[in-house]
Amino acid sequence: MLHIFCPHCGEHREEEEFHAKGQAHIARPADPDACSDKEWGDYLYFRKNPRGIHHEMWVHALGCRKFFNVTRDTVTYDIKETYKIGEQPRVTQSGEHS
Amino acid sequence: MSELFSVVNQHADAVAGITPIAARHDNTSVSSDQISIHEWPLCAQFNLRIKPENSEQMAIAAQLLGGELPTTPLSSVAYGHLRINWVAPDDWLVIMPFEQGRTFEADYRAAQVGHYSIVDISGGQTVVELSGAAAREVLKKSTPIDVHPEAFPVGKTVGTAFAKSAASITRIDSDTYLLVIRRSFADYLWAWLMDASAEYRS
Ligand SMILES: [Zn+2]
Repeated sequence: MLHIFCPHCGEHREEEEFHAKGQAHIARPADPDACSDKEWGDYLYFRKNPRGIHHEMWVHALGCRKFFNVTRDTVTYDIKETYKIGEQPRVTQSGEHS
Repeated sequence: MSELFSVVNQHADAVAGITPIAARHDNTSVSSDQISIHEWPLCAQFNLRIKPENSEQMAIAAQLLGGELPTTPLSSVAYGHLRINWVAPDDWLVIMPFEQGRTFEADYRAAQVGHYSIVDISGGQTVVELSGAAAREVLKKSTPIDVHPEAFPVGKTVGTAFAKSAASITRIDSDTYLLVIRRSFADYLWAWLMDASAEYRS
């Protein structure tokens, strides 16, 4: 079981209270009509699957019901940090490109 | 037994058989010297959403509620017969007696300004009070929350898992906890509570 710090509730809770919601920091194209099919397809369907540091969204489903971001190591499951939507991660993979 | 319960319980006879728990269980109140568990029948419950940094809206809400919405995470306050649980930074649960709730939404809508939300969720969930020396033991069987007195002081409220369902748990007094549970799970959770508390009632 992961022990996850909710940045809204301000304390650690059991994984049972949360759901993972996929890759974080995906910006919706400002003008979808101006996108090529490839750009729109990439936005809708294609996600990173890194070995190591990953920034992902979680929701505190049974708690405050808020979304937030998690930086997690996909190899060790170690959670490096949690931070609110709109904030930027402090822990990043060296050489990572966004 | 809390003040709010004594008020809502005046309706106990009138609502027999129609509350989420009473609809399926003959008895919605059990007690022993170690534990007592009972449903607060037909409380009015409202979900309030406003941005806490909007001091005008916060002041209007405070005026109608008889006190300020708690902005400290995980805190619960009571003003007379009314209880307010922090749910999230911009989200609160307000519980009050049925009679008081009749006009609350209309009064709130008449007074509140700007972009806000108030939803009457009275029909969607019900309230169960758990009290006595063994109340904490029953919670320990049911939820992953740390209910040690140091981690869970009086006035703390949490949204969490309870017997694989969802619940809000609030410690309203030293040995007294409020559970707010989904109406559709009330039958199952009452059965769970009867089972989990059986050893403290024999
Ligand atoms: Zn939370």
